[in-house]
Amino acid sequence: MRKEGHWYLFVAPALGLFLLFILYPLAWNFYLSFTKSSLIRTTWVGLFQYVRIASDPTLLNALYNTLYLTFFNLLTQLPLALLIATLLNEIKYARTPFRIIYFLPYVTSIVVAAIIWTYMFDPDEGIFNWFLRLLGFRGLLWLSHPSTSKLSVIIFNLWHWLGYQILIYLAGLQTIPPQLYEAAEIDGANSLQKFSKITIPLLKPTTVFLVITGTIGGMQTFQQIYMFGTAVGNPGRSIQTVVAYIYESGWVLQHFGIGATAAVLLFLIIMAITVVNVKFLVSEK
Amino acid sequence: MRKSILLKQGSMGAVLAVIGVIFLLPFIYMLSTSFSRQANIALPYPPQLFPEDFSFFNYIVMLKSFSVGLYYFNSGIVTSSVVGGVLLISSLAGYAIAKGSFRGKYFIFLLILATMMVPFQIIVVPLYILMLKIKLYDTRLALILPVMANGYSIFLMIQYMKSIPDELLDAARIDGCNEFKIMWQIVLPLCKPVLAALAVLNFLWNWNSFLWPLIALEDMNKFTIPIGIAFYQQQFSVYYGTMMAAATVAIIPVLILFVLVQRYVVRGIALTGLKL
Repeated sequence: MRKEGHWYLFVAPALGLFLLFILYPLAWNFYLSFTKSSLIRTTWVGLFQYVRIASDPTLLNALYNTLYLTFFNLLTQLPLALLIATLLNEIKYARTPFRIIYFLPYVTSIVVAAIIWTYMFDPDEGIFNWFLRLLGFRGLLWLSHPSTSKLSVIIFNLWHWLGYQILIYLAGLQTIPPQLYEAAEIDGANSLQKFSKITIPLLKPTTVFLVITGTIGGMQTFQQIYMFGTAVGNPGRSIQTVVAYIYESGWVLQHFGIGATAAVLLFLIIMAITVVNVKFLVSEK
Repeated sequence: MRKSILLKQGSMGAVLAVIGVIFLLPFIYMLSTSFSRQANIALPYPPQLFPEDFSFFNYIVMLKSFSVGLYYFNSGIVTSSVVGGVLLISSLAGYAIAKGSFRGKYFIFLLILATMMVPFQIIVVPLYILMLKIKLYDTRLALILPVMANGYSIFLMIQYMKSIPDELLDAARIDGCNEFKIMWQIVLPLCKPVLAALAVLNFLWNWNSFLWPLIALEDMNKFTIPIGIAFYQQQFSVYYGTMMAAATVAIIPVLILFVLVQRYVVRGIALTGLKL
């Protein structure tokens, strides 16, 4: 091997940008969480901010909303995605056009999509209530009332994310050797048995992957919240997420220290999820 | 037997088509509302697939009040800089880690993996203060620089470059090529599939990026499309048709682009799924 010095030039741009724009801000973020900070003055307050947010009903509410939305998103998205991916995997024609159509919402800007959906959710003239009334039901208030606002966000997220999950499941399904199904057929297994005894167990790594990425993605939810209910997550903070809380603390209320503390909390939650996942995967192998 | 297969395939197609229509519904609703004259005052009720009062009125109002050209220009500059930067930086770092040997290589590799676990949302507060201090606040560079080094993209480059045989590189080394030339002339041409996938994915992530531009920009003349339309909505949300026209011009070009390059998106996303 020749001299190794020049290799450092190859990694220097990446390392420099990482240090300046990720690691340094990350360390600084921890520091900020121990201070009371406006943009002008920063004073050391120790754990005061942590005590403060631990008893802040607004933050606890935001945390609850984030976990609630994430949980019900995964619960609705994954089974549907697996079902649709199975159909797509078995169909012998028009697979590509279907896949493209299902994937369109995922590549659409959430901000723009949320604008369209705000009108679809309109309680008076929106398309959803028109359909409900057509079926003889009464219309819902959707995003206009705390009792249905979370449901509205879950439906929106379902539409936005499903194409991504279908694609990942489809990739997973294509790794299952067809001989397994053929052998099961010889043994007299029906479709349901094949699905529950072969497909679901063999797709477990894919499902774990989607649960992890979905949870981390859910923890970062912001755009649709901001568009549907501004930074406070109206109506009545019923859809405010932790990231919206961070944004509100910093850029609405000018309490950057509080924002940083909530960010540390979010970071720890995401780290915990990642660690649990890695442990799970290691125990699998 | 054959008949039952046909029936099964046909009914699966029907189910998938119905699901497809549901997926497309918001786009259809957007288009039909944007061409309805009365949608300027009220949403058409009941909804119409083809508006009876078809008109370009909403588009005319929208083009007069919404700087769509400017926002496209800004988004274009920012996104193309990011994509170019990511490809170059990931290629360099990926090559060094996949094919180089130097002290601290493993540590640097771990560091790159670690950055993938830090979501951008976590560091927006200090990043904002940093941008104020280094006088990059409210510049396009503030949008470009922090996302140019992308751990995920570097990781995929490493994985892909590892599969290139060393013999190929050794031959070039004997001919006296330096490492940069080897990377540029031999390795990168072999990496076209992963480079294409990364270009498309990074385009997507940055084109639709919202929180950071919302924080880092103040000057409307630098707004990207998502920020521009969010700002527009705050003033025009009661003009349904106009908003739908703005939404149409904001997303239809991107959707067409996606359909053209969807092979690469699918490949990139499939790589994501194989990450674990």
